[in-house]
Amino acid sequence: MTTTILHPLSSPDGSATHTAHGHTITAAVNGPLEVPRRDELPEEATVELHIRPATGISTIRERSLELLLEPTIRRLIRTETYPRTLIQLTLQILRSESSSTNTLTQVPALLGAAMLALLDGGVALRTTVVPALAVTARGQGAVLVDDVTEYEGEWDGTHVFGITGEGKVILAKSEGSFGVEEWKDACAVAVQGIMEGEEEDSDEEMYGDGDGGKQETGREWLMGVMAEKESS
Amino acid sequence: MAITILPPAPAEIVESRTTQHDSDFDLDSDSDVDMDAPTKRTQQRHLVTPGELVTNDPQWMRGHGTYNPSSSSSIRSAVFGTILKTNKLLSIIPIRARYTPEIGDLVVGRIAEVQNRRWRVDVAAPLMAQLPLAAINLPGGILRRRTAVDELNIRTFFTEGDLLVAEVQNIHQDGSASLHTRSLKYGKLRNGYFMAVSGAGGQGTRRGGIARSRRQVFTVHTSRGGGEVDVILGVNGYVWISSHVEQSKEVGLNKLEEVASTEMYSSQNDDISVETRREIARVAGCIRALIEAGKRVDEELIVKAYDASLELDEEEMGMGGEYLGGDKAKPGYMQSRRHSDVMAPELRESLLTTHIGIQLGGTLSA
Repeated sequence: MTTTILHPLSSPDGSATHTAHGHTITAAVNGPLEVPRRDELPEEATVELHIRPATGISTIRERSLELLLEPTIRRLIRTETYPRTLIQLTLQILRSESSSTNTLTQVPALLGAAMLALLDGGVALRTTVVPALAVTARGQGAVLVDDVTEYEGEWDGTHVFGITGEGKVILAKSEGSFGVEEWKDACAVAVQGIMEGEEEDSDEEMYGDGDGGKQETGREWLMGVMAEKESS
Repeated sequence: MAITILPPAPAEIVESRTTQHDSDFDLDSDSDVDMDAPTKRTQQRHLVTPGELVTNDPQWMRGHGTYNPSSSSSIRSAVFGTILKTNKLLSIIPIRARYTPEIGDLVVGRIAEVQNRRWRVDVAAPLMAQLPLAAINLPGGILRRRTAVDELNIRTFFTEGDLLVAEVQNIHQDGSASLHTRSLKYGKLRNGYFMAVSGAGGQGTRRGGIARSRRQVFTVHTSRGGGEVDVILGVNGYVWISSHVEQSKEVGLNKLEEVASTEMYSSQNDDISVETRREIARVAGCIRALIEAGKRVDEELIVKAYDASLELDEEEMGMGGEYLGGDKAKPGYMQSRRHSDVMAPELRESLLTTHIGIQLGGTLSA
């Protein structure tokens, strides 16, 4: 189940709680803020990303996720519009249903939550990114997975993509055993799935803002979320 | 050259605005009239996402919240929000924005840091505002120069955590503000209640909030023995509600030195009666409810909301209507506390629908 609550927190500038692939993440965005002198960049904003696990303190696992997501998010934000300031993103993992050791399945939920919080916080962005998760099995085609916890079947390779509104891939990370052809297939399936919004009930396409005709469904969904939020 | 005299253009047909879509103002600042307002608010707003192409047409100028991708004249959205057209200027208003200071803004702030000859003030802006020692009224007269003694005694004027009301005097290159309190209207705040109404900062935000260019300092005459209550609405979303202190009259410029005494910087609260405190809390509740309903917050609506809440309180005696907004007013909160106090959500709803005369887009307690 992919669900989203926009603006669950009142004090940060933007926040979102996003559930995807069995992981529930609350993201909070604060910014532009005053930046400590040592982190200050004269011509752009400093972007800080913190990932906090559901229990305990951040470990090397969270650090590696931060290292994966931070450059993506930094390039997404129009940092040149906020010189000498700080944009701080905190991603708190609330719950992880899948006990799988595969950290990669967390990435779509993290990226989705971060994206929604940035949208909610009114931070200037270059484009909108939609995360997608695809799996491949050796000798078979790739499948775009809506919810990995409900996916029945064996797979060998896990692939995470971040796809922009124009259908460009700006984040690609894979794990497991797969070949080049399988990876290309997974990438194509992900782009197609996001751009065309084949699955109407997939909430991931809600940010899809490509030039395709299906973009309206995504926007309508998001507007529905906004309307709900406004009435509460 | 032939001159043609054209008949005067017929007056624009002004659709009488029903209260139903009062808040649905179209974001076209050319005309404040909505010609074809659909009843459902969600359908009307055209929301754009970052990166989305707004227009390819070169006749439009690009305003806030938009950008030009390199080597192209198209305008793309940079934020998630609604499109605002001002003549040929296209801008996107984000759904929520941090406060951006402008010269002349009346702000409520909190001292965050004391530095050499100046204070750093939190005004909910991206950068801390600064208040130079030279920009305050020094005790003993407005025209006195600041001295080294004043610099050493900087904490006797304002210290960390103090609240103050000030005006934005100047905006620096990086967008940070410089404040001043060189008027008897400004200065340290005491005898009251501070509340932050975040997210509504910035001009032109669609969702109500505190409006610039309206009276921001006013007195509410409260009933039930509350006396007069002063309200200061900072444009930055910080609000101060305090018991009214009668100012000594005939304060001319000459007599300023008497008023700008050290007492002005006192942090000692006066005695405030329980009745006044209750009415301060009620006004705060009204403001919170207005914000939650996405209404603009100004004198008129606060007074109306206050009267409405009193009226309701009289109708439903013994139901203590302290909680008009915030978590405590949400359904379930009261139920979980006391069963007799479940009126809060209903109160808010009827308060904001029937009494103020504005139909809400949804229920407040959703």
